[in-house]
Amino acid sequence: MDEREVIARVRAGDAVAERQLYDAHVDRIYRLAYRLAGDDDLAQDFTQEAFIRAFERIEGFRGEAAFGTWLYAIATSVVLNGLRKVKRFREREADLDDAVTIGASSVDADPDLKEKLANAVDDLPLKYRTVFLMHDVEGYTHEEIGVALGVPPGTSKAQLSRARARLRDALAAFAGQWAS
Amino acid sequence: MSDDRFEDFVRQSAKDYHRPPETPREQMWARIVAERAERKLARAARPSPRQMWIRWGLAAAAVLALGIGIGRGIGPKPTRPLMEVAALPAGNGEQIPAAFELAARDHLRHVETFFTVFQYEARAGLAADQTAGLARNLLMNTRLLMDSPAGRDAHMAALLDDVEVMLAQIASYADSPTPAELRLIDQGIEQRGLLLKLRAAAPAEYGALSAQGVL
Repeated sequence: MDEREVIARVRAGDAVAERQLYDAHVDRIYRLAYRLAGDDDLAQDFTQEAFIRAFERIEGFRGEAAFGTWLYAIATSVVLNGLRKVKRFREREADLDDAVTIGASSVDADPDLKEKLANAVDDLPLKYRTVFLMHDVEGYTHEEIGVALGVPPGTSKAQLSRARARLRDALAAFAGQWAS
Repeated sequence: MSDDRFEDFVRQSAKDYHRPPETPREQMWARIVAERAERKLARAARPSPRQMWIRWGLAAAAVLALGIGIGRGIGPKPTRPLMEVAALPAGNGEQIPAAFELAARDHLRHVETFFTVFQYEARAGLAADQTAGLARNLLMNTRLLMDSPAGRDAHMAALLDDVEVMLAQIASYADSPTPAELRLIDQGIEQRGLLLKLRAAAPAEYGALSAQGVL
């Protein structure tokens, strides 16, 4: 079914249509929230809040952009504002990082290097980290990132470039491992 | 080392950075539904402006009754027969017992709030159903105060007179006041400078200070 039709049904109060929209987008929202928060509880809270706000504000969705893009903008705002408010985020993030580093070894990278990369990503300013994770890890386009963060696509490209440069500097000691 | 190699390496390695588990779809959906229902209930339970008016009115009456009760309990006892005291002319310089003064000022603050909201509604062409009822309650309290020792002070008596007149007008347009009638009352409040007089007679910070002094 056409998404515009589903949205019209949601506006009319159709709960089944709401669930359809949710199913179509929840994975991407949750993945992004988790990547940024590094904490399942926070990621779930942010995802839920994003959908609640989207359903409350759907009357204001004018269809100028794709629904997904509009929804990702709401979700990104919820996540970034939420992260700023959560004081203990850093500690939780570090704990989970350790757990992930120990538990997952699907990539053939040296554990020290992976840890160094995780630390380097953590150290990126939030806006650079957001763009890096959205583009390089979750596959968002610069146009989508631009709408989500309220910046032109060119700014998104520039921030990604700066994020990569910082990561390169942070990982300079391991240059041989990706060059070989 | 090439930029492409570095980017491939980072992309590949960063996939393990905060690698998300499987999306807990059902769990989150259940919480979304519950949270929306809760917020809807909370919005419905929020008091409407009319309900707020009723609460204000009840609070005003309660404060006035409390003030008069305290005044009768701890205020100075009349040394002359009551009829004789009541017959004294206004403005004779007699000190108003503190509890009556406190009650009067509390009442005037409520009247000021009432007039302020009334003016706003009148100018917007609105007339809440409860407005006349509240005016009657405040009118009754005003008349009680006029007959109390608070009404023997010349300035207070004059202010209470003005308040009584305006409240009586509002109370008399009980059912469906026309915009013209609302405008007339609004102009009456303005011409008498009632809001300014009320604010001068009962400044906002007075309540706490005077209550400390009396109680």
